[in-house]
Amino acid sequence: MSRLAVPDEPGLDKYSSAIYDVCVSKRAMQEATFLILTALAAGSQHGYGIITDVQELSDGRVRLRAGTLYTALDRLRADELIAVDREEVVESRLRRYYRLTPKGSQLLAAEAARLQANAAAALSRLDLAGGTT
Amino acid sequence: MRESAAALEGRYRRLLAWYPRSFRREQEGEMLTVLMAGARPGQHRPGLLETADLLRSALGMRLVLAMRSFGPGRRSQRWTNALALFSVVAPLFLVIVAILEVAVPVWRDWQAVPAQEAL
Repeated sequence: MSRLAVPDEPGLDKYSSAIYDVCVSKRAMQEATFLILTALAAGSQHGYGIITDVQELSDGRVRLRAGTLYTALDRLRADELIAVDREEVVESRLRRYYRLTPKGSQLLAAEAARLQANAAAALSRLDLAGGTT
Repeated sequence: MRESAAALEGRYRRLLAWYPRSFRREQEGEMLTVLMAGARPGQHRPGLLETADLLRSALGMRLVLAMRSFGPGRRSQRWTNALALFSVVAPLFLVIVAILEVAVPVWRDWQAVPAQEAL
C-alpha cells in the first residue's frame, strides 16, 4: 500500500495521516481565542490591554504570555476575525489597537451561543438527576 | 532601575530576533511594548516560561511560513506530516535552549560573585 508509488491515484487522500486530520478538522474554539475575541467585543484594545482584560474576564485563570498572544493575534488577523484599528505612541512606545471585524463578531456570537446551549443542557440534566439544590 | 530596564529590553530584543523578519518588521515594536509593560519593577532578565513561550511562538510562525511556501497540492502532504512531527520535537529542543539561556548566565553570575568578593 505504497502511496508514493501512485501519486495520481484519485483515492489517495483517504490514506492521509491522523496528524494531518487533527490539524485540519474543525474543533471548538480554544478558550484563549474565545477570551481574546471577547476582550475586543466591547471596543478596540492594544496588546497589553488584551492581556489584562483576558485575565479579568477569566477571574485570573488565563494569563496570556506575549508569545501566545501574538501567535493568536497573527492567526486571527489572517482569518480576518480581527483587524488593526489604530496605532499610538505612548512614552515613546508603540501601541497597536485591534478590533473585531464583522466576521469576528459573528463567529464569537455563534461560539457563545454554542457554549450557552451546552451549559444549559448540562445544568438541566443535573437538575433532572436531582443534583444541585 | 533604568539600567535594569535597558538590560531587560536588550534581552527581549534578542529573543524577538527568533521571529520571522516579516513579523518583526511590523510587530517587534508593539510586542516589546507588551513585554516591557508586563515586566516587574527592577526585573532585568526575561522569565524562563516567558522565554520558552516566545521561542515556541517564534518557531511556530516560522513553521507556518515554511508550510505556506510549499503551497497547495498533494506533494505538500508529506511535508505537512514532516512539519507536524517537527513541530512536536522542536519545542522540546527550544525548552532546553531556553533553560540554558537562563541557566548559563545565572551560573556565570554565581561563579563571578566569589571572585569579586576575593578582591
